[in-house]
Amino acid sequence: MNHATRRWALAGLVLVLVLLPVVGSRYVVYLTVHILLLGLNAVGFNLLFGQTGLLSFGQAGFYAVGAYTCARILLAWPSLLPGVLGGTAAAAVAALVLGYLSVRHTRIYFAMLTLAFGMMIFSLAWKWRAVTGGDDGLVGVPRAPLELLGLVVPLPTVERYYYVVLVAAVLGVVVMHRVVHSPLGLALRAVRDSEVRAAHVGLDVRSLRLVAFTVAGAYAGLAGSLLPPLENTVTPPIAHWTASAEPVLATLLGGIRSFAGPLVGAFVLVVAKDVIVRFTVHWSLVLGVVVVVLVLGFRGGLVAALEGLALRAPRVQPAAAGEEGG
Amino acid sequence: MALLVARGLRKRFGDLAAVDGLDVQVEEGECVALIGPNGAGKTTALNLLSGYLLPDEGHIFFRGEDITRLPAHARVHRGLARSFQVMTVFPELTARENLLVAILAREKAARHALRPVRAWRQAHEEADALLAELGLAGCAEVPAGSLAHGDQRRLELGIALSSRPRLCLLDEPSSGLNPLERAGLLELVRRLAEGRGVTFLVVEHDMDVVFGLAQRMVVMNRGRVLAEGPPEAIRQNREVRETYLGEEA
Repeated sequence: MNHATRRWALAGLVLVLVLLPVVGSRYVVYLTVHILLLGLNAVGFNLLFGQTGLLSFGQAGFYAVGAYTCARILLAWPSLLPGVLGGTAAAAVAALVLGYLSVRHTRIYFAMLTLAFGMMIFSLAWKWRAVTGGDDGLVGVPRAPLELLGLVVPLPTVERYYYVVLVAAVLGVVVMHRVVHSPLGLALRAVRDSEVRAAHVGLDVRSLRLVAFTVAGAYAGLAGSLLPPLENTVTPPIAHWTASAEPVLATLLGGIRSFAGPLVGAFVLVVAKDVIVRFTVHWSLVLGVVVVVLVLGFRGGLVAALEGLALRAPRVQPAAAGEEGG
Repeated sequence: MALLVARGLRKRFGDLAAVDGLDVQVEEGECVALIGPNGAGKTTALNLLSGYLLPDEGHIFFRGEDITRLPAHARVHRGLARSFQVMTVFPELTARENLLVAILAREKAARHALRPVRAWRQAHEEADALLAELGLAGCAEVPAGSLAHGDQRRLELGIALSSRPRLCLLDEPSSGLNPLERAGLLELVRRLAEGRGVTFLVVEHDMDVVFGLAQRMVVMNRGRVLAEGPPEAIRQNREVRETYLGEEA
């Protein structure tokens, strides 16, 4: 896909997203909020996975830290911005602390540690009744108004709240795009490619990993803290390790090596789940099969596969045909 | 003052003392070859000097500073770079990015998270000039992992030099190359060394190559220095001939 096509596609997508509450049903808007939240989480996760080469299985923990913190703030002080910013900051701090303990390990050891820390947060959500409400969770969280520069914007409807989430998601994606193309992003890819070589060009490998982990945690926390105002409740299952699999699956589906991969994957995963749930109670089995087929069928992810198709279509030289055989 | 001084370095792996009381010194501007039979401890010595491993005993001074306990990345910033025996480039980064990341790390620019890499114009110019010197100008956009073996070897040399080291440690820079490529690579090392005033400490296996390149040789055996001196003296040294050059003498 060349620059011009990409730009037009992006403009079209933004137009659709902006007009969605006007043309789509309330349920479509609600579903899109979930796509954006998972997209944000997955985009952050992929800085850690695709860019830095670390597979975290504990992102749901930071998502939950964001969600619970935001819910507690909103219950005490019904104003959206402090809730969301507080939730994001709490998740970033949690990621900084747990990351400090995790990033000295890599590969399976890192994955297992993050899984364990994630489940630790799950246990806290379950048992620390005074703060988290235990298995009841926190209920009656208000969709507090957005107060900014003396302006008070009430958010009574899902459609209005959707725009808040859309702005947060666009900001998050734009910032991540810059990070990935910055010297920091290049350094993270160097760490991914060869830890030893990276250290010997003067990069502090452990600090770089910790930065990536903290940023990924902050993104999970941002996504998580946007959840309670939508649902008005927070319950422990959002912290469970099965929830940690969602950004992993979304990223694998969309492709770890393309920037848009996690976003496309989040879209496919949320929509596929929503469709499958209508037909069977065994939806997780069917969804699992769909994910396996997609991951195996589109090596490198959907985005890479689609770009490959777009590149191949207009080409008719024999050289291109030869490549297909390989 | 010597550029690098190592005193009484020791490193054990279980029962094996890979480096066992090594004393070595490198002066500014010279090219020193570190040779020795297999298992003499050459690579371990390099790993201790570069900070890849920490010694059990002994001290390393670089430009007068005790760097014995410094991590590798901190040594690079003080002017001590290295290459590896087993090929180590960044395989999924392009050839240009391989050099860029080393240049940006040297400039301590890796902490910049919001400005695009392309904003560092000078770093790009430097990377492209070095690619041309390495004979890799045509491969700037190629992922390093897809380059031919010889090209990867030269790129690795380029990565080490992108740190603008005072001292560059090369661990068998020509391993895996055919004789023709070997000669080319060592000629490249010589040319790059002259232009930059870099001091080299080279571990090599190919004796012909080393005799042509180094002004001074250090021969290791069983983890310590067996002999050192100018190449001709080493060639004449009876002990060295027995332990190492045996079959060639």
